[in-house]
Amino acid sequence: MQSALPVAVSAKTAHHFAHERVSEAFCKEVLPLIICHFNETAHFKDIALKPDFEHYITLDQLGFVRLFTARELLGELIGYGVFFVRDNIHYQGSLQATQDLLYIKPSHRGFAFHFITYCDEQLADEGVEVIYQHVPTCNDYASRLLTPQGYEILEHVYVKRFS
Amino acid sequence: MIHFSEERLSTVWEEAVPLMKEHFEETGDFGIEEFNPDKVQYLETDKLNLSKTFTARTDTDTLVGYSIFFIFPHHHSRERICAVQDALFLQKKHRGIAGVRFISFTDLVLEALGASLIFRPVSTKCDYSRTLSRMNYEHVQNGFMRRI
Repeated sequence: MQSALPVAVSAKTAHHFAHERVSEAFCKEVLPLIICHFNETAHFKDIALKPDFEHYITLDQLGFVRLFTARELLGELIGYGVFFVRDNIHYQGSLQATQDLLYIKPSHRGFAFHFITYCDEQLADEGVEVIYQHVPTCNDYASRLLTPQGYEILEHVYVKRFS
Repeated sequence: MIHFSEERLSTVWEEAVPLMKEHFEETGDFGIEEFNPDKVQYLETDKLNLSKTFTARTDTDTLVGYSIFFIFPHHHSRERICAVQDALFLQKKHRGIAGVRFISFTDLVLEALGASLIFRPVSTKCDYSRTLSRMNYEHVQNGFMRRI
């Protein structure tokens, strides 16, 4: 695990962000937050949430995952950002990051802008050229949190479900 | 008349490259100037059956369109097999009803292959959202990018 990089927002809401590794212990810790995330934003709530943690751990070991966390000063996990980092299959030689998950507990959302800035800075520091973020239509935070940071809309994502 | 098939990417790659360039010129990502697909990675996923390639050809067998999907268990609900569209292109003069038929064809084949969810990202530069909405697709996300 890398050392935490403190980001003070205010005396009352002090918290810190860090780059961590995906481990079995982390997966166990993050599950309650993932359930909140799922309940808030999943499009098909009747599809059971069964995250493939083993796959995430393997991808992390292979160097393809970046996990950024937001914690209170006492260590409680209050948010996470998960990105897949690799050369884009369309533009080989260009290291790119695609957001897989981004979540902050509703009670702590005042610092989401800073958390995204932190994630972007960490990714930029390792040579990522392009960052992709996907924003659910049911919680469209893009105009508040992404476009002010230089993000542009690229695509609309549609899904069709069978069975 | 345009007809559709499933083909191996390895057999159509060279034929598809000029169309890929047309595709990139029309919808290539903002600020990225060089089209440089990773042929090795594409062919490896094809070989491992982790992707499916569909083609659109004229009666004279000329390639006028293609669609590529990556197939994998969903990271968040691993019992669900997902098909995620990597690319969909049909030359402009063949668009319209042939485009709708091409999407329907790929949906049918992917469903038959066991996909329970099909994801299609639609570029804002060539927005066929209304077509997908009429084909029982639901708008679930918007994609944003930032060039560092």
